[in-house]
Amino acid sequence: MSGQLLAFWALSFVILSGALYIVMTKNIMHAVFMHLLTMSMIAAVYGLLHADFMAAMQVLIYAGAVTAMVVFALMLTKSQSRPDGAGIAVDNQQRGASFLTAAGFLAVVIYVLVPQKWAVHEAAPVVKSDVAAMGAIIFKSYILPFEVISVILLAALIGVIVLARKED
Amino acid sequence: MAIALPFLIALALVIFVLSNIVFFMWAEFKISGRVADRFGPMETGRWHGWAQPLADILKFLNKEDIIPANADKLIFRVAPFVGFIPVVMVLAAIPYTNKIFVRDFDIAVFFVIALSSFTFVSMVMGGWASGNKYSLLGAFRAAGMLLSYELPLGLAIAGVVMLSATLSLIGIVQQQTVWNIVLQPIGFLVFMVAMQAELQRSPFDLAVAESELVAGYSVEYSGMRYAMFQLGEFFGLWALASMAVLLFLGGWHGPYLPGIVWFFIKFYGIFLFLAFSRVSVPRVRPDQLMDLGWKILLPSALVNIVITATLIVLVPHYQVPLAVSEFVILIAALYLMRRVLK
Repeated sequence: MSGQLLAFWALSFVILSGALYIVMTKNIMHAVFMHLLTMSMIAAVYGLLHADFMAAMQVLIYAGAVTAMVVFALMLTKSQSRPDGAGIAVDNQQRGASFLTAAGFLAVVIYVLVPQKWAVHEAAPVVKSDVAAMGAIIFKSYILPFEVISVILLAALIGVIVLARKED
Repeated sequence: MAIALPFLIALALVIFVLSNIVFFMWAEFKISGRVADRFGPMETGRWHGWAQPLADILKFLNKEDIIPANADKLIFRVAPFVGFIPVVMVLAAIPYTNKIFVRDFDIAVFFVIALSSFTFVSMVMGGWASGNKYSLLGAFRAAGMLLSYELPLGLAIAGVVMLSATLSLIGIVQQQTVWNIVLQPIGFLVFMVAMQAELQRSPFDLAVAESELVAGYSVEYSGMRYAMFQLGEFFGLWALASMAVLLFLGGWHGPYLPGIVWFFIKFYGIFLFLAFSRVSVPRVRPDQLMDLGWKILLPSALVNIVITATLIVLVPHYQVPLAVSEFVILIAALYLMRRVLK
């Protein structure tokens, strides 16, 4: 087993257990910090695949900005979790329905993914990550989807401002 | 031996940066002393108190590591490292000349920006886990501030990246026949202001504001863990001041002297600017901070990007028109701002 594969398995273990911890914990701040760890480890997987740009973006957006956003949301809402261990209730009346939904989704995922043949390479192909080429692809071949995304985001932004200013 | 060499280089680099940081600390004591009409430290080590930072570090090493009773123990312990380790990793991406560098990253600019966003997480972690109202207030101030200043910082850099069409710091310096400060004066100003906010230095030290929040997110920290926060700040200063030199001041370019000397002349110029602005400008209020970030810095950075992009695309030899239009807009904006603020 190559070192790369070993690192991949170690990272996968951390990512999966971190993701499980996020949904299982009762302390929402712990979930936020574990989210940060999990996202950083996913960035490490990108680094392992020589996708340096993706790794940096992953850290900047998911580990940095999204964590900041979640912290802000917690700051603005009345969060009940405190460092002394008091948690919030994460249970409600919808147990049966949510179990059925999750089990159904799992069944679909298994049905789709298990018959596939997955090619496992011992080592990742060494491709130099080319930011200039990526930029050229995004801003030349895929300029229309890119602009559509920006318009949708702008619409969302304006919508939020309109909703937030409703009281005037 | 061949395997040990990278580690030895890394060790040498960290020791070099640390010795510079010790000098920073002493220089800041002295500068803030002189500005306040004092001498600053004079006793330790006989000659102008040169050993004062070393004595401070020894004191931190000897202090008890106190963990408050109602703190979240694990997160409290981990928080200083979350901020410190990424900032030290940034050193790997910073070139000092085109010969002296650790690694020429393809995406060095992004690497530095991405890793420096961990500082805020460590502050929020430390402040929240302390279980103290003042710490929590400091943590949330830090979060709000870094969120609003990361954006102008990144956008100010975007102008430079568009001019040089590369994200490699060595590539950016090699492109600068004319220093980027001439072509991007607006970007440089935005970068310098946002940088001070990013480093949590006065006048933007709201998160640690000693006179309001005791010491903000670091109230409950003592000993080595407190020192980690402080050291992390100085490593961040090293990283961002180097970025300012590399992105805007032409890096190691300069006449007569060797490149490494030019780099450190410019670097210490930026350091002096930071040291003086720390002692000469009063701390801003949180609302003033948000106004400055969202209403002045962010629009300025966007205007900078629009001008730069338009001229690059439309004009074949864009250097002179770009420099002229940026300076005209900058002076007009400063004049208007003075009129409005009167």
